[in-house]
Amino acid sequence: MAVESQRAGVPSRRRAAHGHRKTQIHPFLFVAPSVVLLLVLLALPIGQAFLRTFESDAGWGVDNYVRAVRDDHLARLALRHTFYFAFFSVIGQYIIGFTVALLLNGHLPFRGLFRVLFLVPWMLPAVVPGIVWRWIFDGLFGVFNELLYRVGYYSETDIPIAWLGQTSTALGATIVANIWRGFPFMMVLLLAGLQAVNDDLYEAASVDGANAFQRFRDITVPAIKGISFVAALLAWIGNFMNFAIVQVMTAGGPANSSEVFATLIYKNAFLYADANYAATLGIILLALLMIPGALYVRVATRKD
Amino acid sequence: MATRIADAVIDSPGRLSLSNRRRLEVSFKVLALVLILVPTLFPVAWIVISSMKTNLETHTVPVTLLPENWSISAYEQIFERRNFGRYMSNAMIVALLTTAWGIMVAAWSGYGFARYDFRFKPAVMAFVLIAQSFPRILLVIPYFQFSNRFGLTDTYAGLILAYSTFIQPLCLWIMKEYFEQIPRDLDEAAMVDGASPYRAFWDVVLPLARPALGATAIIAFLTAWNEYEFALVLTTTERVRTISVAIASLIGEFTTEWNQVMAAAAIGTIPVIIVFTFFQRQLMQGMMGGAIKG
Repeated sequence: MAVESQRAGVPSRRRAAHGHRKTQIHPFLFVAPSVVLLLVLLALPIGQAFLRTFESDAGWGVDNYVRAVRDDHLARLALRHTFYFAFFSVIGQYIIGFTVALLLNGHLPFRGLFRVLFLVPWMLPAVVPGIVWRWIFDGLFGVFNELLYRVGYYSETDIPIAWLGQTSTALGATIVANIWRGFPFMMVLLLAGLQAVNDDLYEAASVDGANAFQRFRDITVPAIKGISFVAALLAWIGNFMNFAIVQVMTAGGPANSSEVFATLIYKNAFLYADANYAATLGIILLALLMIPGALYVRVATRKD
Repeated sequence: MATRIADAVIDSPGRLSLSNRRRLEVSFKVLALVLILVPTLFPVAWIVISSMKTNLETHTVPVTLLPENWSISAYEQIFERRNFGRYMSNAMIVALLTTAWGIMVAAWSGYGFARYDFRFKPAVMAFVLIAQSFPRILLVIPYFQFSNRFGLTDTYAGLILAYSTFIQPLCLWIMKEYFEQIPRDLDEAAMVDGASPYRAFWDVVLPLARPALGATAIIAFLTAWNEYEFALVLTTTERVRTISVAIASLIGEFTTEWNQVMAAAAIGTIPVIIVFTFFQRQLMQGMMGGAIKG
């Protein structure tokens, strides 16, 4: 066949070869390694985890789900915390990320250097942000309290606040750490969106007498709407299943006041040795991520 | 409006003030950036500063903003007493091997996904996309069991398999996206000239994809290096324990030697900083991977 196609008229041969190839074995040989791997590495374990959610001490059934939804007040608490954690993280990350992206957009001395430096928190190993913020927020020897002291927040007789040790501030402190870690990601995406805007548009608008606010509202905002949506979706998904920051900073405590879904799953699986129930919570977490996940897939695989 | 344009063009003092205003605007921007940069980098600086204190000084009030005696004893201790050299090389071995075979499989199959259509392709691609940010805390549960059953706990192989759950789809997606940008005409021309699809892939397309291979490898390596959940659950001894787990495990229930924790965090970050310094551009592109269609 190879020899033939060399001799024959190219265009028609080409089409014939193309049509023929569809039924050939090549596509499968190319694609098979990945597909098999994904099946074995992901589909199989998830399937196994899903099956075991129907196993409990009471036998075979939906007891684990009933327990999670109806009886386990900790699951409900963790779900609420997870929503707070994801929501306020996304808001904070977006506000800071967008501000920095706006400032970095356009001509600026040391622009490249600024951009790299702002990315640093995002690149750290997953445990490091939690570790350092735990140390910063330490009640006795933390530098945050020291700084508060120096600006006069505490009087001589005040006992410094243990930010991670009291129920009212623990979750908030983990959110602060998470915003710090996650805003550079927003910044990168939004900056790319801003840079895709043609400068001539701004020029033209200024010439037409549009002020800075009008240019922002009528050019910048519409231009980055799409990328903002994608960035927020991705950040929501990542924050919603975050484990490392909360686990390292508070492990969900004190008294479950910063318990999120991921830390609760970890506790059930590896401290309470109830893997079936942990898997059930995991499947619920997965189900909760379905909607943002599906939206993301739609946006990312759109052909335009 | 027309008069405004006329003003701007004719009135040269007006134009001067415009460039003045631009300079003012830039100064304002730089100032604002520096103001945000200080709290952004402070925690990183605090890691380094705390790691240079003695254990006593980290447990002293009032907190000193710079070490009274700069000391590298924390670094000596984590390497001499705590075996951090081992944790570093463990993380390096796992990250490099996971990346290497991730790239190999992804280059091969990514080409297939980019060039051929088949029945379940959209579903598979959606799965590949989702698999990159799958809740790892759920996957950890079956992997813990499988590893125990097949003797993969505390082995490199166990960690590499577990890491492949996110490295493989990550590499596959980026490679596929890149192959799609290489014109089909090139490999089709080679095939018309008698090359098999494999030859066309190997001799024509793969050499063109070399930059993408590099960028993908960098992102995959960093992602694997930074991993925490799997390493936490699948290592019980220090045999294959990675640096991430080792850093976190330095935090004790009752006492913590914070200078050592910070030294460990600094050491664990060094490879990231190195990669980051040299491959910034590739990283940016990779981060935007699926988010922006190139």
